[in-house]
Amino acid sequence: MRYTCGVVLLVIFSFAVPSFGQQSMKMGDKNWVALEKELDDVNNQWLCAGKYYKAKMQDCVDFRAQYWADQFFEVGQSGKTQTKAEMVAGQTANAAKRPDVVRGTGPNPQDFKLMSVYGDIALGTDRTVFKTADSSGNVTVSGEANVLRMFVKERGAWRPAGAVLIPANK
Amino acid sequence: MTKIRVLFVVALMGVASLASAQQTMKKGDKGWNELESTLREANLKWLCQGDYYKPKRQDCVDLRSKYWDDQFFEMNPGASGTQTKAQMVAGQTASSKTYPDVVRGEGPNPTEFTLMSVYNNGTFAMAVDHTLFKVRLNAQGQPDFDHVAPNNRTEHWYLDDSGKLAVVREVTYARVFVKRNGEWRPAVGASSPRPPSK
Repeated sequence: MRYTCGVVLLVIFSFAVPSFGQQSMKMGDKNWVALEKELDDVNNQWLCAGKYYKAKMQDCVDFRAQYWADQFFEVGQSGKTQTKAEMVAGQTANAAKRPDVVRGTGPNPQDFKLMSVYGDIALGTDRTVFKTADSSGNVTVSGEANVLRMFVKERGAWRPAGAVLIPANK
Repeated sequence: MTKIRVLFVVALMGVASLASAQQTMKKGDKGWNELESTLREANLKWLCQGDYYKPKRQDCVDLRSKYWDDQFFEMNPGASGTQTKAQMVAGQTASSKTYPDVVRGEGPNPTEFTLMSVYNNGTFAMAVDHTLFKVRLNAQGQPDFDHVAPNNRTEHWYLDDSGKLAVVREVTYARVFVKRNGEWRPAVGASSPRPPSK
């Protein structure tokens, strides 16, 4: 009898936890700041930036193919929408043409801000600075975008769910 | 004992239905298409288009201030950048004082609405559309830029299918929705400019 009651309570608890998790977090509080920090790190992993730098472009593409949620999609700076499969195919083709990555080039996210949290979904923004290297290896800024970054928590880990890139200064 | 067993079964069924809501919905199946249709309608409501047209701009702002989720924010090209719900409502209220009247069909017109992903046990959805920004014509048959917000004053334009409005700007809009108390509500909008169709 006691065992059955315990199981019933446990099941009811499992219902309540997701909605409680959503309601208890507010912008600026301890949990919010901790999640913002965690997602900032996820963002760097996603972009193979900072300590997640990979010298071979294909290594980063392969990592993303595992890391992105299955339903991942991205809207690029020219308004083109691509699914995960299309993104991976396009980036694999680019990696075949330009296999090596100079450290610091590519997308560099800055000023990551957590904007909203809905249970296992979190939405953030950043300013992404795109950098390229010239033939001498000098790194210069080639473009900037304000980016909507969408994340989903699956099997206990936050993963990229989508992005929208909005050209800055346009 | 029987009551507890019933309670246990009901709770288990609830958990199972929550889990299956997300897992059973796949792109192109009946549930997906129905949700896409529901959200297409929610999108029109958000933008005060079609059946939701409001001749007074402030009426649309008032609707949005209730319809948008509390955590709503929007990202757009240009000086406005990222804005919270409060900033959006304040900005649109100010604009409504300068440009109070709306011609039917004027403003953002969403087309090609496509549901892209569904999460949180079917209570969170991400979609994209192709939004055309339209303005009325003046007596000379040119876009009436004197009666629209400055961000719609573009050099390139073309007449829409009705021939009564000018399309002045096009974007891909990411439209994100959350289901609250049984109703889908806008949670985020983010737009990226796209080349003119014509």
